[in-house]
Amino acid sequence: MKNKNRPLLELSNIVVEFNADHGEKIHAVSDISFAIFKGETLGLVGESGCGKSSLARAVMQLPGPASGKVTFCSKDLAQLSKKELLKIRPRFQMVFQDSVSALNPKRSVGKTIAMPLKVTGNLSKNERHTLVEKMMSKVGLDSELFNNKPHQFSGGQCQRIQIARALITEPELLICDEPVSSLDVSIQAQIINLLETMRKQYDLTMLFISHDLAVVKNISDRIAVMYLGKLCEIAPSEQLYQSCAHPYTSALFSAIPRVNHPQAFPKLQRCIGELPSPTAPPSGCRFRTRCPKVKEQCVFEEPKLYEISPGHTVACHLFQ
Amino acid sequence: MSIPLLSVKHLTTDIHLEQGKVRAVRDVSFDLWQGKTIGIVGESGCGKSILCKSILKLLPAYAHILEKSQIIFNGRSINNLTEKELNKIRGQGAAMIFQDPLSSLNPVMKIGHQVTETLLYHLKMEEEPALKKAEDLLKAVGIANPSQRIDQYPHQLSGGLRQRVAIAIALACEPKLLIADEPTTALDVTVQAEILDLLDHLQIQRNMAMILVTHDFGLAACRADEIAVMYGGKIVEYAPAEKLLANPRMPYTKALINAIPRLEDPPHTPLQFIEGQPPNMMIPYAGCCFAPRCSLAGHQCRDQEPLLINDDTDDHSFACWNPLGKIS
Ligand SMILES: Nc1ncnc2c1ncn2[C@@H]1O[C@H](COP(=O)(O)OP(=O)(O)OP(=O)(O)O)[C@@H](O)[C@H]1O
Ligand SMILES: Nc1ncnc2c1ncn2[C@@H]1O[C@H](COP(=O)(O)OP(=O)(O)OP(=O)(O)O)[C@@H](O)[C@H]1O
Ligand SMILES: [Mg+2]
Ligand SMILES: [Mg+2]
Repeated sequence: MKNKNRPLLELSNIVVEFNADHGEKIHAVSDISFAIFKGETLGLVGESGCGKSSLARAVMQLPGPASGKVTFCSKDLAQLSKKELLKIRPRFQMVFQDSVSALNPKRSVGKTIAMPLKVTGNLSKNERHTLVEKMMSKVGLDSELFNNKPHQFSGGQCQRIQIARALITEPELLICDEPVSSLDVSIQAQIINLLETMRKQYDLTMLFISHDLAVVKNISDRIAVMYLGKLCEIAPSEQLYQSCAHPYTSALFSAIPRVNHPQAFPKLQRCIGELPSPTAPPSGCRFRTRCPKVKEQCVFEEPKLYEISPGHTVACHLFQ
Repeated sequence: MSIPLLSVKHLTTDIHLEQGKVRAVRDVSFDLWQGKTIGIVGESGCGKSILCKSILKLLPAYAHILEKSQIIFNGRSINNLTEKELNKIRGQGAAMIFQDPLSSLNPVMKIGHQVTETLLYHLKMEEEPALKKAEDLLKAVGIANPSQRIDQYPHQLSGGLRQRVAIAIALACEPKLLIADEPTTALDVTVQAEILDLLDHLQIQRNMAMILVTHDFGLAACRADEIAVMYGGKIVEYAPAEKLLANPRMPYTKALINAIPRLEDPPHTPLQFIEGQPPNMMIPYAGCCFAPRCSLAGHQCRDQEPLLINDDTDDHSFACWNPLGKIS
């Protein structure tokens, strides 16, 4: 956690929208800003459909945001030419959520992993081959499988192929969208340990999206919580776990099924109501329709992000 | 309730590949009663999905269920049923939620059609009421704006929304048995809780039985009555959920539990994992298939295959020559 003061990635007022029928818009990401510092891992959690993947794709310029600014290594990515973007690309990589469909079915695993090296293009075929084999063993794939095609692998193995492809250029920033959700606990542990080693060795910076809070807490220095396109809380991991403030974060933590206390998770107990539509998000605070602590103010006024203790920021009227 | 809803006996499934034969499921037997849930856990590639697909005979052409296998559903063996009879069971008797929601949904068909398809086909409903019911089903699985979603295609939905659509399709015909292969893997915990509450509700209301495949032990602990741990195509430990978690007897089960990150631990705590690779299921093995990775393995473990046997006293069975101590 060194160099806390130099953001490697800075997001300012990111907006991502999609067109829905009848001229309506899906507000997938609405005005989100945060920074990730060099060597830091930021966890990103939130209800499914809240815009996590959309935000990640916007950072990767796949495509870029509708409005707002993505700054990587002090460069505004939207201002770069195609050529400049191509040159900087190996320095930030992404592991996609849908591992099987993110892979080209006709390309062998070895070639898939070598792809980003080919783009930068200053290694010989043999050099690339050696690097790929090394990377395959690092992520726990048998290098004998070099020539196999993706459909010959289980979901968990496809996920590791993607991770190997993303790490092969030794990027400075790695965006992981649910990288371990299709893995069993043992491989999950191996992948997390691998990412941790890469972080220590290369000062790798990560944006780590997952809905497994124990995993996120394990790997992240800080955690950001999203709800329906908005940021609602951001805090150092341990602090978020010990004393989360936003009612949505509390709901998240209380819904975790836990091995050691199954009784703490009684069946048929909680139901925090219906998800609002992303085409017409609620006025004021977007969580208000499901919030147990809703007040009148929440309907009319949107809560601003407010620092309640050093490094711990919350967007909720209860704390202002 | 004198007979189980589903009785699986000696189920063995081979997959024929160019390189040879993979025995993906090996002699699996269990009973499942109405209203009950059995959780199936185990490492990736251990045969969980092939087991599920074998039960409903939804296997690819190059997979083959061996003769000695018996699947008895609702008192009736489905071994020799025609494809037509099987289809009837698949729609109304037993439904399955597949592991990869994107591949089980048709990419060029609108969501609405995919949900109504089963209603039109199995329940012979009219178009209009079917569409109404589809919206209700989507609402029940927590989709806020079903009337909009029915006109969308799978790629326009987030991973979690696609998963919910797949669940809605499986529930459309009110099955007696639901086989759910990692049904909530793509979902966050609050939605997961809501969907599992919904499934619970259906279980209580309609006495639906469920096979829940998951790699989340926490989930299995909270939602399953019994847990089966699979390794190398076999069930290697089987017990009521609390028992299995409180007192795993098979070193493999214990190792899996130890690999789970714990919320109480501080960030960056190194995680334990199981060294080595899962067994190559192409090669027949002697002895216990976990022996090469087991720190407690001795001669017997390498030479002689342990059978799944009951603990002397109760309903806890395991296949291990050197079981971990029993805590009484
Ligand atoms: N290509 C698209 N076209 C139309 N709508 C889209 C598209 N991609 C995403 N959306 C919508 O944007 C919203 C946010 O989706 P996104 O995939 O970012 O969610 P997410 O937080 O990653 O969810 P999950 O945890 O389920 O993966 C959803 O309402 C989704 O339906
Ligand atoms: N379509 C297929 N072609 C070839 N082999 C397959 C196929 N599907 C499964 N297998 C093999 O059968 C075995 C069991 O696979 P299965 O999909 O049942 O595993 P699983 O326990 O569901 O794993 P996961 O947790 O990754 O979903 C694996 O060794 C796998 O390699
Ligand atoms: Mg996503
Ligand atoms: Mg599977």
